[in-house]
Formats: sequence, C-alpha cells, structure tokens
Amino acid sequence: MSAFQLALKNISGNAFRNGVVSLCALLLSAFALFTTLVIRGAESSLRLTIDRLGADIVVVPEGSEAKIESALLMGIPARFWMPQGHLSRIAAMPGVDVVSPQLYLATLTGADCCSVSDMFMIAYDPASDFTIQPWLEEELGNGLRVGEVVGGSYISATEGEQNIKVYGYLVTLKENLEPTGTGLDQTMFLTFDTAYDIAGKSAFQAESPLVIPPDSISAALIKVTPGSDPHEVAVQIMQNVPGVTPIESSNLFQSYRKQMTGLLKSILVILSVTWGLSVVLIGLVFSMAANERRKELGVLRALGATRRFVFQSLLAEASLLAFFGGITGLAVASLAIFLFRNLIMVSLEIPFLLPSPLALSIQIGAGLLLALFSVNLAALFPAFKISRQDPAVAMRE
Amino acid sequence: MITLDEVTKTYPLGKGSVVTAVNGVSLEIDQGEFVLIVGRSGSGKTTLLNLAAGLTQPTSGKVLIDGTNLWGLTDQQQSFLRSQRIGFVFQFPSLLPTLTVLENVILPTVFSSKQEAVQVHDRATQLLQKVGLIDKLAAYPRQLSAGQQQRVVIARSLMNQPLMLLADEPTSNLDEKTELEIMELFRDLHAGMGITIVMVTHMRQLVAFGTRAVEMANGQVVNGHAK
Amino acid sequence: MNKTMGILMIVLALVIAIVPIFTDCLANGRSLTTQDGRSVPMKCHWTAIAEIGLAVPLALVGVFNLTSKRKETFRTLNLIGLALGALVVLFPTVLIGVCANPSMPCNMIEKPTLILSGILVVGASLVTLASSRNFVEPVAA
Repeated sequence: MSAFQLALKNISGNAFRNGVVSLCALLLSAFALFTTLVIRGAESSLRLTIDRLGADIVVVPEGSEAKIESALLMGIPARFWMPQGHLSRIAAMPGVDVVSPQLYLATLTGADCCSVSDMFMIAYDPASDFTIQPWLEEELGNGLRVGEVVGGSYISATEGEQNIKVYGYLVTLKENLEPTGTGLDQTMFLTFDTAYDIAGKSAFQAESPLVIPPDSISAALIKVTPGSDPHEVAVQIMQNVPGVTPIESSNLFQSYRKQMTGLLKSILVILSVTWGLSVVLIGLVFSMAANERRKELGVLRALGATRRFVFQSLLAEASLLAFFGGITGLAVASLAIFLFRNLIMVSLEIPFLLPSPLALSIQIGAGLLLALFSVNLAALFPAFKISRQDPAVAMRE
Repeated sequence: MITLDEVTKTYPLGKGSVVTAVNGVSLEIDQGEFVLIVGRSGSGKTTLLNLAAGLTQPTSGKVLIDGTNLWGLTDQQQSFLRSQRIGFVFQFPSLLPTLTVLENVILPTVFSSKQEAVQVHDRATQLLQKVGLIDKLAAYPRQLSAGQQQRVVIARSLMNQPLMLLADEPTSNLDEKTELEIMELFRDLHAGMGITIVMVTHMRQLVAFGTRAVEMANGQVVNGHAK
Repeated sequence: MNKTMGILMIVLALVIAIVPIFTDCLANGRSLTTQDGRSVPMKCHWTAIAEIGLAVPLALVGVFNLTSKRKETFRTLNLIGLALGALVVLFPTVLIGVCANPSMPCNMIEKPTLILSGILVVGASLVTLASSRNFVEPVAA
C-alpha cells in the first residue's frame, strides 16, 4: 500500500468533516469559475460584436448612443432617424472609404399579424454594405432577394418550414448567423428593398403599418481608408454634420464596459472575502481533524512513519479532498453556465458568449489549482504542527 | 538489546513547575527476555516504555538500542529503526478504522524496506492465521470485538519481523477470559519465536507469564531483579 | 456518503417538482389560443406536470437512501435513481419539450433547471452505487 492509497482510504473516514472541506473547495472553485466565465464571456461577446459590425465608426442621431448599444447588445429594438442627406456629406469627407446606411425597425408587440413580436430588424443597403453582404455572398453565393431575410442564431421559422410573418408579410429565412451572445442573435437582417416592400404592403396587411420616414436612415456605418485615423474622421463628422454623434468602434459599448468593470470589481471583492473565509474554515476543520486523529497519527509514527511522512500524508488527504470537491464544483459550474446562459444575459443585462473548449479547459485547470492551493494552504499549519508532535504525547489520553 | 542509562523525563506543567515522570532510571533488557514492568497508575511505567521505544525524548540520559544511541539519529533513521526492530501493542484501540484487518496488518510495511506485494500479503495472512483471525481479513475494526482487535494489533506488530515487542497495558480493556487468551498468545510468541517482549501492566498477577518483573513507583525502579 | 446523496436527492426532487410549475409559460401569463378561441397551456406546462410524477418516486429513493441498511437495497434504489434522473432530463428535451423561443421563461429557467437537476440526480445515483460497493452492513447485535 502506498502513501497515496493510505491517504485515499483515510478520507473515507469522518464523512462530515471531509465533506465540509470538499464542499468549501467545491463552492470556491465553482464561484471562481462562474464569475470568470461570465466576465470573459461578456468581453468576448463585445469584441465579437464589434468585429462583426466591421465598422470603424458608427454615426447615429445625437442622443441615440444608449439606444443603439441596447439594440445591438440586448436586442431591444431601437427607433431613431436622421436625414438620408447626411450620407453624401459623410462620404465626401477625407479618410472615409465606405459609408453604408442602415434602418432600424421592429416587429409589433403582441399583434396577430406577426408570428414573433418585439424583434429587432436591421435593414441594410446591399450596394454599400460591408458586414452582412460579403458573408452572404460567401455562404449563399449571392445576396438576399426581396422577401428573403437572414437571422441571428436564435431566429427560426414560425410559419411553415422557412417563413416568418412580419406585418402580415411572409419573409423567407435563408440562413442563420453564428452566435455572438448579444442581441444580434435575436435580430433579423433584410435588405432596404424588402423593408420598403413590407412597409408598403403593411398598410393593408398588418394591424398597424410599418412606417419608415421618407428620406431617413437610422445609422451610417463607416469604414475609414487604410492608414487614416478613425478619431480624426470622427471629429470631422462631429464638426461638419449637425445633429449626429459619431461613435468610434473602440468606444462602442462604453457604458456596458463601465458596467462590467464595476461588476468585475464587486466580484473580485466577494471572491476574495469568500476565499479568505474558506481558507480559515478549512484551517479550523483541519485543526480539529488533526487533533482528533492525533492518536492515530501517533500510532503511525510508532510504526515507523517519519514526521515528513505524516506531514505529506495529511497534505495528500487535503489535496484529494480539494481535488474531488474542486472538480465537482467546476463541472457543475460549467454545466450551469452553459444551461443558464440566457438567464444570465437577461438578468445581468450583459452580453455573453461561451468560451471555446480550450479556453474552458484552461479556466477549469486554473479553478482546480485554486482549490488545491487554498486547501493545502489551510492545512499547512495544522499538518506541520501535528507531524512535529511527540508520538508519546500524541497518544496520551 | 535495550539499554536505558540514567534516563529522566520531565513534563512542564506551566508557571515554571514540572512533573517528573521518570527519574534517573537505568535498565537493561537482554535479547530473548519477557520483561513485565509493573506499578500503579502514575508510577512512570508507560513513560519508561515510551522512552525505550524512542517515542519521547528523555530530558536527560541515554537510550541505546543494540548499542546505538537512539537520539543521536535523525528522525528518518530513528523511524526506520523503529519500523524494522520494534513492534507495538497499545492499550487503546490502535487499528486504523478506514482500513480492513488485512490492510491494518500490512500497514507497517509502508514504512519499512521495499518488499514484494505477494510476500507482504502472504506474511500478513500467516500472522492472522497465527492469531486465529484468518476469517476476518476483509472485516473492518468496528466489526471486531476488543479482544479480536488486540489480536490484529499483535499480528500487525509482528509484520516486519521485529526483534522486540513493546506492549503498553495490552489487556487492560479486556475481560478476564480474553485477557488470559492474549497473554497466552504473548507467551507462545515468546517461546516459539524467541522474540524479546517488554510489557507494561498494573496487574501483578500477569508477572507469571514473563521471565522477569521490574517494579516502578514514583518514576523510579524499586525492584528490578529477575523473579 | 449514502446519507448525503439521499438528502441531495430529496432536495433535487423538491426542485424538480416545484421550480418548473412556477417557471413555465402558463405561470408567466402566456398560453396558446386554439382556432376555436380556447386558451390552452403550451407543452412546457405539461413537462412541468410530468416532472412532478418523477419527483415523487425520486424523493422516495432519497428517503430510502437515508434509511436503508442493506447493500442490495442501495443498488436497486440507485439504479432506479439513475433511470429517474435520465427521464428528468429527457422530458423537457426529447420526450415532451418546451417552447421554441429562447427568450420564453420555460427556456430560460424551467428547462435548464430540469436538465441540471436530472444530471445531478444521475451523478448522485452513480456516486452512491460506487460507494455502496464497500458498504459494511451493520453487524447484528
């Protein structure tokens, strides 16, 4: 029998005490993993969304910054308009490579005409678009025809196999985009032509008509020429185009970023306090255990165990408890995050993307190391103290 | 075999006062003896045994095992020597509750020189046969009576083929009939294996089982001659 | 270990019985209107009802895990527990299902709760099955 096998057998005694230690390791590692996954998930989601937009600058009507962020991140439909004429002014500015307009629309809430409600719809101009159009050409070989749409990963057909009814108009869902963990997953993308067609027909087909103000757009996405400074271009737009706010992509989602930084700080504080309390609790439990087992450990010394053996054997027990508790906690936390990701997004009001298997494995490894480190740290002093004790004293009543 | 040379053991009581458990005792135990150390509770006999085994360091004096000064060795050397040369039988139930009977008997081999698993298993089985518990290999200590547990402890103490057995009140928790059985087992081991036995007891009637009796009182030997 | 898993199973049984009923779409004010104008609950409601039918025997398995003293009993109990746990997961996913829209409460809370609980029940049953292999039956007095 090896020292490891002995440690393994020893942890099966006193289930309550060992259960407490394992439970602490379980909760600590689960909490640490959960919070890091949530924060990182939110970060990756934001980054992906910005990449997906592909724009260096997004121009929106002044005062609509918060609305566009909610729309893109949380899928909360946004409605704002600015004159279409701004497009030509922006296009003429130095440093502007491509400018593409978008219309932000929404389906009706709870109406009979529509098979889904409260859905955000983004209409784009295929002629100038540089985000969806290239992807479509790659996936479908051509763009969308009138009456065809693509959806975020959560959009699915509700009328027959491929159709969705919006404003009494049946659109065909051609493809779904990859998940982003943001509101884009619940967004429908359509061309300007389709949008105007729906609007036109909605007057007699829908409960309430879809109104697109004439000569208006909601936002303009800008790609700057290679080598140009997006900030300078943004400043120019600010100075020369009235009533608009240019948002640089690096500044996009600032309010959410601030929210997440605040959340991260709170989480770190809670995690530190939890960690500290766990280590103290485990230390106490180990002290109690070592004291209760002092006769047993004295016997081991009498049988020929060195002080080092006793010390290492106690730490081996601690490590085993930490491992079992930790791995259980990590498995349950990973499962919980995967299953409850929608609820997390909605209740914390942050975007969220699950990590890749590799990233998850690394974080699980880190969580396990945290559990092992913490439990061993807590057990260090009691293990050292008991291993140094005179065997005769240890075995005394 | 064991030489105690003017050993004294004191314990601090706090506030500067000490209690002297063993006071300047010199004792020699030769190979093949079966020595019983008798005395009342608090006479220092258990402490003397612990000193002889190296389980506690003397405040002064020397403990020699086969001429080697025990406290001149490192912890590792001392522990190894204990595992190879000395077998222990304690007063309290000393089996590990999470191990089976067989695993408990094998336990000393974890600390001694490497042996083949098969050899270890065979020897453990033989010893359990000798103490009459061959049918309890897979049982856990809590499933055994006090007498049966003590037999397992005796088997365990012989696992590494020690040169001596040190027993501290091994029968004090047992009923008369079981006590007799255990003492007869010790006697048979002494006679059959020639093993040196040093036993501490407060029961004077057990002196008949040994080759020599040593009486202790107040931390000193009062009568150390052969009976 | 058996006792701990028994308590866990009882807790999970309570979760399985109670949470879905309060987190299905009917409890949140949403139901389906048939062509003749009647209002009927959607399938997430029937999943919740079915889960109550699983929670009751699961609670009993938990109770018997606490009180049993025989190795054979533990084996049988936890094989039943395994099957129940699997069904808890299968009802909302394959056998009955919940609503399609991911933003509905049944999808956000009811289904993940049931899947997680079912997996934990399966886990607890497996752990008890493994630990009961070494179970030492109490010696008759």
